[in-house]
Amino acid sequence: MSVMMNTSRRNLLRGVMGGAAVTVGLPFLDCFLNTNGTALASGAPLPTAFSTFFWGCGLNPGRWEPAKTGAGYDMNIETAALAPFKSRINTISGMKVFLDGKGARPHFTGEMAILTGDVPREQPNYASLDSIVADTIGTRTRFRSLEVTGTGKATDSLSRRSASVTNPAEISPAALYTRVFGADFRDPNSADFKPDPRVMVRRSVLSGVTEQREALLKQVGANDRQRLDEYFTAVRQLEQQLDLQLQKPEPLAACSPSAQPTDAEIGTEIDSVVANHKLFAQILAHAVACDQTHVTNIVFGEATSPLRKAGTAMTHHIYTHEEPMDPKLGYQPNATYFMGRIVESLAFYLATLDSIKEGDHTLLDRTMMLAHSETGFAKIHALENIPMFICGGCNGKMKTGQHLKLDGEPVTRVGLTIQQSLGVPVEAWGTMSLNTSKPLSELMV
Amino acid sequence: MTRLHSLTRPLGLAAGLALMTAAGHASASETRGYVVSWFGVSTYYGGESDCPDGLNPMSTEFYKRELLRLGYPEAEATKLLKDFPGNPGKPDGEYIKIMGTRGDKKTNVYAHPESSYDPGLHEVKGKLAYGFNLDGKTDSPISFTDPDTGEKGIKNQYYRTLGCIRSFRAPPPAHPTLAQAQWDVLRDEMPAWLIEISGMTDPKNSDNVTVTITKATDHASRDATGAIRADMSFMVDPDPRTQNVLHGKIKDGVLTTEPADIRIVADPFLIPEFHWTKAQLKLKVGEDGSLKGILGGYHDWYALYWSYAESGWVEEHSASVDMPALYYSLKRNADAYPDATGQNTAISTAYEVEAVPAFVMRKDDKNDKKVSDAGKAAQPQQRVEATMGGWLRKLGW
Amino acid sequence: MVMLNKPARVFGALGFAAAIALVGCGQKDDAPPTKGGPVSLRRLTEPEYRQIIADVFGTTIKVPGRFQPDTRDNGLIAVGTSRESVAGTGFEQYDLTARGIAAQVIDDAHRATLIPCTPANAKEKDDACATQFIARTGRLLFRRPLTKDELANQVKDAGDTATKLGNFYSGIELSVAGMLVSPQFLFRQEASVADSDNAGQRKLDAYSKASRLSFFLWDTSPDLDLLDAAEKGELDTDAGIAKQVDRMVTSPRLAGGVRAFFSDMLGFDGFAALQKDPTIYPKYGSAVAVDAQEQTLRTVADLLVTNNGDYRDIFTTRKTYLTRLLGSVYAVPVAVPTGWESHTYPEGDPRAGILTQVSFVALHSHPGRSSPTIRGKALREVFLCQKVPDPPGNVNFALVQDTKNPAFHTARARLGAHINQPTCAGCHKIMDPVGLAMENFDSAGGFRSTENSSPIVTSGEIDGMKFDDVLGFTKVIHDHPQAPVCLVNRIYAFGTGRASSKDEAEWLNYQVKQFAASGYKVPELMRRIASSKAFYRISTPGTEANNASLSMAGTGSQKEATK
Repeated sequence: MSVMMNTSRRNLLRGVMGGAAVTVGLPFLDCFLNTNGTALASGAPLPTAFSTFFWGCGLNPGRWEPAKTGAGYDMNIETAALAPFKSRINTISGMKVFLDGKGARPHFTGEMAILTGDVPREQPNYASLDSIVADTIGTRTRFRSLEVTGTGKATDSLSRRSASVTNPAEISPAALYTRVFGADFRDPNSADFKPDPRVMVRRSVLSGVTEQREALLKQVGANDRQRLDEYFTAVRQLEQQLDLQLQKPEPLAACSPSAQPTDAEIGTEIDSVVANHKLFAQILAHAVACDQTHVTNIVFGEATSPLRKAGTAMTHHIYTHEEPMDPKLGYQPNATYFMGRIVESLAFYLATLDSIKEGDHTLLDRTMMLAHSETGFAKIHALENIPMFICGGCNGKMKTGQHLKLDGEPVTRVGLTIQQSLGVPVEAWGTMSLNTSKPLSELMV
Repeated sequence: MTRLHSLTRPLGLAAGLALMTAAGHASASETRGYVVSWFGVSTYYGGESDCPDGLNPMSTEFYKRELLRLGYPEAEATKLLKDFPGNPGKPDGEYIKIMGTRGDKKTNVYAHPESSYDPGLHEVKGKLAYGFNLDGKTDSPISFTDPDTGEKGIKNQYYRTLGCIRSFRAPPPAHPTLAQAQWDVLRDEMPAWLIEISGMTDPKNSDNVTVTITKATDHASRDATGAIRADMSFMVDPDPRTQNVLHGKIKDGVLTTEPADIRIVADPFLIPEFHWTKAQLKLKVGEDGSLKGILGGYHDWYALYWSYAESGWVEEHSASVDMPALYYSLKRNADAYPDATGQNTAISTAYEVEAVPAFVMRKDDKNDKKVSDAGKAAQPQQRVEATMGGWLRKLGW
Repeated sequence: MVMLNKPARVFGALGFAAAIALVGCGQKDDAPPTKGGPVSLRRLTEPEYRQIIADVFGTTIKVPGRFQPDTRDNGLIAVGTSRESVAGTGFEQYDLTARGIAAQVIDDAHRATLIPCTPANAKEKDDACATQFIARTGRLLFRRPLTKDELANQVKDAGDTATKLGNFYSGIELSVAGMLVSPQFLFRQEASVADSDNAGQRKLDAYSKASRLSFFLWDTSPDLDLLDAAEKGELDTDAGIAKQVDRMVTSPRLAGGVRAFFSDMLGFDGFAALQKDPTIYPKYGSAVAVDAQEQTLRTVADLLVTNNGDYRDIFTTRKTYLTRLLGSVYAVPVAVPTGWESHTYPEGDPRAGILTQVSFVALHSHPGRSSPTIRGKALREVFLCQKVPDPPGNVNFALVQDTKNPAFHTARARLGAHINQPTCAGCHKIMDPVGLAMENFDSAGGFRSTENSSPIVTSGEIDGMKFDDVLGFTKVIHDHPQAPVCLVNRIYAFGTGRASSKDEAEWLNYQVKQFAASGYKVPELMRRIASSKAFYRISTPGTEANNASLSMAGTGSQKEATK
């Protein structure tokens, strides 16, 4: 979307503030549905929705990888809850992170490699996968992306716009609901619409800010220029939101947001985390159905998995290190309990997406979700065989229902595949030994 | 304000060890403070054997019964109660007015219960109850036996009246719903009740202790679980209506006091003021610094009746307490202080009391200087540790 | 400051010499010269934002909305501000907050005091009144006078809005909302000028100096007095700076700056996400967390500012402040029913210094039990500026699993494997003994002398210094030579928003010696830093455009507008 950065634009806005119809000279938004709800009004297919679902401390090796490779595999014990969706799930096992001699930071390096293609020494150096994807598929919606976290800290988000800017995550479902479906939500299915003059005024105030971009960027040194530019990018995103608020939205049959929810207690207690996750899943699903965004990110619990049962001192994370292996069961019972709750929650999310009908299909059919953890075996912080799944019908842009056993392959092949299938113009991705130019050909269409 | 008893502050490992053993037999006399964390009428729960005549009916049942007695046809009585509980003054609460004036000549039955007949409250027929032998007689027909100690001659006629009303029954550790509801509201609003025990040379055995019961200027505060917060500081209210000094002893970890009057200003939501005569305390002194037991004594029965009836329909319908039935039962079961006509004016009662450690402080009246006094919480290191094992022990496992 | 990588080296590059107090000689700044650092672009932190709104618009203005989280770098949020920007979500929130504040500025309760003039007709625009308000408010918010163009554009926008919405005050409202989301407000942008006293060198320009000074000493934007001094050229002279520094250091507001620094250094932002299991620690709760932070900040401010005490005494002071709520956590009687009461622990009481307070021991623990490792790491990193390396990637915890006896009674026993396994001991012997000294304090700050009926042993050693118990431990930290070195480095980094450069090492060494010579007085340290040339020295020249436009901001053409 090209943005005119001069005063004539502000005059344009000023000129029409008193008028009824508002044309602000922006490209026509083309993600509106036809009457069947099966395609856009323009005839183009429905947009793909990209999601990420992250959890810490992995799964138990040997209990989640399917026995069979290729199509038609069966889910193993720990992923049994995902079985109803297996034809729309690609399970990817065996992939690893190459350190190139750098130190591995537990509960950090794994997800950095998967999402940024890089092993940072201190702070992350690159934007995250979802941001890269959002720059291609998320520029036309009210929100470029929506981030939520289940364990109560806004800084737990893994969505990075750049090395220095993390998109903070919502910690409260009620707050997320207000943000998406509150006062600023334009219901696509409501009968009347009148552009709000106060929104027009706000819009012109923001153009007054973005007008100064070039001059201000000249004033700062090279190392500060990028940060200032990120700020201006953020301003433009809000400008875009306001522009959308000034336009009458096209009706969307699948858009029917439910009522404002009440949060369960926000914290690390597993029952509350699961309860809030369910609320988040529903709100995000409706946000996508109502075309408020195309990119959603869920951190079920942050990487050091502080999940715990009420009344106990022990967290999921501590169990993975200190709980003895049960000789009869062959795994750590308490640690595995949490893994089970996490996988059930992922299944709930997929079911929620699947419950939203869009013509003959469901929202899950046009979703491409990367569900992943950050370690192959939490007890020893292993960086091999990290559980990774691509869930959803992927809107036809990827083959589904495959188990790929890719022992020793770099995790970045997954990120590369996702980018290429969504039309991001990239030939290779990742740094040093994580750099790859080989997408997963088994999945490409 | 200086800290009392540096004895309680461990000075490194050696002192810590010394204090662990001191828990058993402290050499210096000391005063300990507490704040009451639970107070509710003691109603022993023995299961079905308590009420062979059956439990008392729910308010919907006895309202229906009364409407029929007043001559309303069955269909209309059902219709009047259709939207139970309904709202006073609104069409769905029409029956409320009728019930309120169900005495003879449409008299207000709550204020004039004798304008009503005696519906006949089902009373306790079991043999066990907590309380005290207030009159010293072990063989009177109204005696109960203490379920834990087997002591005979326990007088608790209040329990006899209340014990078959559903909202006064609950198997431990649950508390009866009415008492729980009252206390839940009160502890956030009513000034806290404070207990001090001085002369406690040994928490297991002390021959001569003084127990002071007062009230605070502030209400109690809660901790993260909703229970009353321990180790909180309170200032004693100098109000002369709540200044009780009792004498007693501690034997094998149980504190008992000699009979005396006890007066405590409470709150109209419960009762404006308690005034027991021949009152005693029996409290187990816990290793974690808590107190748990009962307070018993004779109480003016009409004041107890009125503490329920003054709310009229509100408590009658929500706690299913048939007010005239309650009145007649209390009158019948009253067992002390006869008036000129021979009608007993007081009834034997027992209440559960629990308390947690607190700092009890007083102001010096003469020059308004704050002088810290007698109260002090039990040493924290003697309380159960905050570890997994610790909280398991706390739950009694 | 050089951060340590190898566990064996526990003293900073600046060495033991720092601990030796040299007698200071005279008032002049004979500190070693420095080359300085680059101009910075620092985003406001949430506490700074709130403080500025309170200072500019008054304390009755509520600040709604949430904030883009602040991040920590090199141990300080203040340094993280030089890396930070704003994400889309964050900007949405700034916009919401700005509109919320602006709506209050023009409401009936505030407009009389905050808008000094009255429009001729409240239903129409009034350029004269708008100019007056915007120039004055803009100068305070942007921390410099508005340029001619900035002022003209803003007044025009306010007028157009007033006309379109039929309300003069709506124009003011949108103007305030716009200023509060502008980069000139959200970012502290510095500019440099040639240093006329030192050929070939550069220093901050007057307004940049005013900002650095004000945020350092009071953690807020420059007040009118300081802005006037910048405008008049007084901040270009040593005497002018000394005068402002003196005003600000002797003001009661210095306590606010000291509190802001310690709140950052001690990592109090960590409380927002701190969880304790209520079943195990019923006494802990969010109200306790709030009081705990305030307790420590009051303890520190009272000692260092009100009483101008020795910095090192923060580890051993017996005097603190308590509320009744804290009294219940510490099992100490507190007479005052609401608010704060001073309390002095008796001689020999293990509750000495801020390390034994809830704000340290509870912040650095798990939800359900204490953590000697976390506390040891925190003490090293926060107070001694020592970086503890991360654990290796493939730790094999099977080595530490004693399947025969998993029930260790005390933390010391549980962590035995940390010390006994050579691969673990290298780092853990730096952390665990330190944290084990504080095991008398459980995860929520309560005192205990046993754990699972076993006595807690708190004797140990740190960096060659032995102690028998926690009181001894606090004395050892008090005497640790690295503590004052760390403080000087930290507080300088707080003021400059960056880690120091290698060429500043000699200057910092000098400051450490002065600090020791003065008796470790923090206000004096802040005064010396704020009056020094080093604090304003700029190493890399800014761009021509930067220097040209910002130097315009201080010229006379704005004087009429800024009445």
